[in-house]
Amino acid sequence: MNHENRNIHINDVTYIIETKDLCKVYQNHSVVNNLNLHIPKGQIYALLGRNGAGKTTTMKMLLNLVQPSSGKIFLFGKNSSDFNKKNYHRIGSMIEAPAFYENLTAKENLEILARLRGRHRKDTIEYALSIVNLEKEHKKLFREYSLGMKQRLGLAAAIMHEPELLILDEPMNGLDPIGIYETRNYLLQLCKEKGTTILISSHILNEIEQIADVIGVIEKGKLLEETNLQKLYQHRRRYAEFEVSDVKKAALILEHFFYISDYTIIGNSLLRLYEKIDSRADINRHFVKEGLAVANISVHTGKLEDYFTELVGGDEIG
Amino acid sequence: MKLADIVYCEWIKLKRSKIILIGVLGSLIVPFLVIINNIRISLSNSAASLSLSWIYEDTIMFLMLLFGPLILTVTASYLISREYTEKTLKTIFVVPIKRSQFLIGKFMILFILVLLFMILSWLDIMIISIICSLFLNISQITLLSAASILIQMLKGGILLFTTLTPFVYLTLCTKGTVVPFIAIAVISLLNVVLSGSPIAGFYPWTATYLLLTGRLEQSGCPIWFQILLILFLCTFSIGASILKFQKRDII
Repeated sequence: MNHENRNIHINDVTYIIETKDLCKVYQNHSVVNNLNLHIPKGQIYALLGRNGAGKTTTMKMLLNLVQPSSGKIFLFGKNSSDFNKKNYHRIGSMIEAPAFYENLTAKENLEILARLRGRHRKDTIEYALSIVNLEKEHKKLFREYSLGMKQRLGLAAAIMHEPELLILDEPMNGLDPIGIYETRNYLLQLCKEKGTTILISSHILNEIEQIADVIGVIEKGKLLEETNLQKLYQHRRRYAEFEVSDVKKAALILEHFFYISDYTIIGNSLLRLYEKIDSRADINRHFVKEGLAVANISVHTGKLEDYFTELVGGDEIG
Repeated sequence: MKLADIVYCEWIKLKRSKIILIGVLGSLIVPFLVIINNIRISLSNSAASLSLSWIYEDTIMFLMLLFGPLILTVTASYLISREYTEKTLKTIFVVPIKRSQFLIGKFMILFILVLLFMILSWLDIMIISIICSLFLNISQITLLSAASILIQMLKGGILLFTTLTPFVYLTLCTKGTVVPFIAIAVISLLNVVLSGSPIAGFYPWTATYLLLTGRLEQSGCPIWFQILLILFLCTFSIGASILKFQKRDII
């Protein structure tokens, strides 16, 4: 039995979860590959990745639902190879689409969880249902719930025992805009007021941008980037956009006269320049001198989505 | 964690469940059909006189060899497979409950359901017999014989439970109801074929019936051997189910 424990403090940050070279292989197919996550206490950590990137499997391994093929998980500073069931008193979770007994009401489903959990406040079920606005759905069975209602019940089950750590797999799926707004605000409030650490996964960048303190980008089971939001914003690149009559000729001018290679051509008339942006007046003069018609010049800051698309090598995030 | 809490939760899970209706109907239909058949025989044959013990003997035979295993295997299989089909394991196993405790809870609720199945059948025998006795002559309807039939049926329930445990293991392996249902269909057919044969005492699913009705020794099988075989079957099935369930990933 491994009793390796660690108090993980790096740069005065305490990590509530840390993984070390975490791997999961299913029948020779690697789903999670040497994953090294660092989830700081009292912050919202977003695991961002495309569908099938390995987010859910990672979360299941953190919850001891799935056994890692190799690697280590440090949960609350302790190596979870000897996972203590009591940890579940400190963790709330919602993995994939919430699953409950379809022939039961929300209250009956939560009653099962509360009874199995053992210790709970008397009003814990009513409290959790009121947080997610399901307290009035007395008679409706789970099978009659809409996707949004199921998500809300999943969240109620995750928070009902007031855990220190919340692990939420795509919790905004199926919620209406008001539901998304309310859930986001509630999670922010939990983190700010109660110091709850939240690990949230998503494949929608806009959603994450508004809530996360730290973002981990995962692709094909590998962690591509782990950074805080401030640092992430630095990745948003500025560029000058030229609207010209002949983009091919304009590109030749950039390469031969200004030695610029960091540019992209968009369509038949747009050219984005990522370097020597401050020389755009000179470049414009040269374009005109070479007989090009320049209809417009503008300077922009790139979207975060562009950065992620570049990072994961595709265009499905965002 | 109290085992009583786990069993109570298992009971709650069955609320509004159709499997309960199937079980209730299943437990009522056998005594009903047996009584109808016995009345038909006694009306066509004046030498055959209706009695409570005759109704019980026929009922317990069908319950132990054919109908009970079928209905109760479907119930046992449902108890396990629904956790996979409704994907509720990932919700349950993030609360501090051991997988072995969870599975023992399943076995216990199955045991309770088997006993309830037998009690309902007994109630059905008694109610229909009393109603029929208003019009026909049915002997032995006394409190003592009713109590002795109840005890016998409860014993039958315990024996039936032991032979159902392998189907729990089979459901855990296949995560569905189809394979256990095919298996019990084959076993029930074998019950019918083997029940009168010399090897019936060595075949656990017929031996339980012979043991209950006191005919096991007539079949040539020593009682101690059959008791050990049934105990081994039950213990092995429960143990193997717990082991199988222990380290399995919840996907």
